[in-house]
Amino acid sequence: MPDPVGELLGRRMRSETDDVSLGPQLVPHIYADAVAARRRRRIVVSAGGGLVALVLAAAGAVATLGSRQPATTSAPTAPAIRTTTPATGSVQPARPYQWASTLPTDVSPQVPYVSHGVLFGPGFSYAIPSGDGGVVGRVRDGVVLHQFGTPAMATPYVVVSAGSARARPLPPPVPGAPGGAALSPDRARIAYGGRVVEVATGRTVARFPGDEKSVFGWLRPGIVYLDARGRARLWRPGTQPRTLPIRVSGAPGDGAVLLDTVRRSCGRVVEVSRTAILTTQYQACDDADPVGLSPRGTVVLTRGGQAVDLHSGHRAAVPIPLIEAAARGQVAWEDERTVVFPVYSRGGSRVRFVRCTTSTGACTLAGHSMRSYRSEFMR
Amino acid sequence: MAEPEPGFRRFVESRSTALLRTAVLLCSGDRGAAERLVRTATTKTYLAWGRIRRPEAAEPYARSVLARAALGRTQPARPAPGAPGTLTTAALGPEDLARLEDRLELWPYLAGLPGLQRAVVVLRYHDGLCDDEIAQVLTCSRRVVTAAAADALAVLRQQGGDA
Repeated sequence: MPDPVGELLGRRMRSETDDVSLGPQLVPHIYADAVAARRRRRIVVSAGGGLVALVLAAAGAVATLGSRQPATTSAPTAPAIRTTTPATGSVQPARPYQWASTLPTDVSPQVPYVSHGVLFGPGFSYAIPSGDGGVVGRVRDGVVLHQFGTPAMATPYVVVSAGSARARPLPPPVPGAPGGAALSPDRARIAYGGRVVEVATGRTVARFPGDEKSVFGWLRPGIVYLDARGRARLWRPGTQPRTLPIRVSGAPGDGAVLLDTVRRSCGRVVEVSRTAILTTQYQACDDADPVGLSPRGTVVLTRGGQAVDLHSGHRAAVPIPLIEAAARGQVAWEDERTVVFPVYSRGGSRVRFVRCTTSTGACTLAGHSMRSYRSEFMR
Repeated sequence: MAEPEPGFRRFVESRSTALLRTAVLLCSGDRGAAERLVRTATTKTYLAWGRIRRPEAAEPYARSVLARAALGRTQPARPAPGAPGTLTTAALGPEDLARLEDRLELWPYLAGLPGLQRAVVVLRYHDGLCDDEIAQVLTCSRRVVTAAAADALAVLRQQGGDA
């Protein structure tokens, strides 16, 4: 006999996931993983029939391949952000990669980013030993990088110094601690892996309450994380965490604003106080549903392809590739009005960066095209 | 870079979205974790491609790897401590169901379930598998599947029944 509660649950699960679609990078990654895994297996099998020395040599090759092309990478936990459906009426190039090449050329991204296993920072580059990584953010003397690797690296978080392009490891995450990392608004501390660490000294200055599942961000009022029961929590080290009665979909900057999913296709921008009091700054549905937010929360990117200035009410049409990148969490804000985001060639083998001004919607090509192997994480 | 064979590519291009949706539910809405699960499942499927003789068998195989990998993230396939299926199973009236529909917040609900219960409700109510198929996927007995589903739904019934 059909169970009405089960049917209700099934309906809700389908409605919550029917806008989940593949990002441009997932299929290329699947192919890369599959080919690398089969190559590793062939090496091991061929070595198995040979001499012990040959086996040892093959194991070395497997280890090398494993570190460069992991089949199951340990990536940072990112907040789940819905993929948008492009709306009509805004700039929607059929081929974003080709569209980018028609834009006037501008300087390279002014934010650190990772492309093809190399961290590019202001005036330096750093080849990531594990072959892949993501930028956590800029600090006083460099960039905090999360190195991915399989198996998980002992010290995945490092500070890459801007001057020397050398990496200084931060303490390892607490065993069993969840993923996600966030820098404090003053960039002096970082929260990850169950710890709060002073970036300059590497000293652990606080431990998480122990109920965290993933870290969303570190705003002025405190650290926002999701607990094991799925609740959003606001925590200032040294105090008790407070529950935020919202479904956080993004905590993008250093200010005090969050993106909250009200219901399907409806979201709002809320300002959070130190005592977890919420003030709604913006709320809308469908095409006006917010999918991106500037660091201080003054500019909202909407699902329908507009940038809305919350102070002046000014609206400008922005390209749909920017909105799609915002939905994937791949938009970096160079300042409160300027964004940089990646667009990929068909198949995802090459990437170009595009810079747009949200007040006008005008865009330029930020540097030249590059080989693309992993997602470009930019902060 | 070399590319996998056409059959596998057709499978990935046609079924990855469905696998990703299941994975998002198994990961309680965590898109990043879901993508990693899909990559793990498709890689293992590719390694077994020679043994998967029929193209239509690829998706059940991948789904099975996906569910077991998701379970491995949380806990092994065994029932939660305590007697299974002992929570309230009282039927809800139309008003209770309407109240439940209003109150149900999917992601916190799924995140709050033990891994086995979450996998069972996703496979049963989202993917439409019967209990025998779920037992096969999760390598456990049918009784464990039935009890896990009952306990997972009991949490919802409680929400709907609370005035």
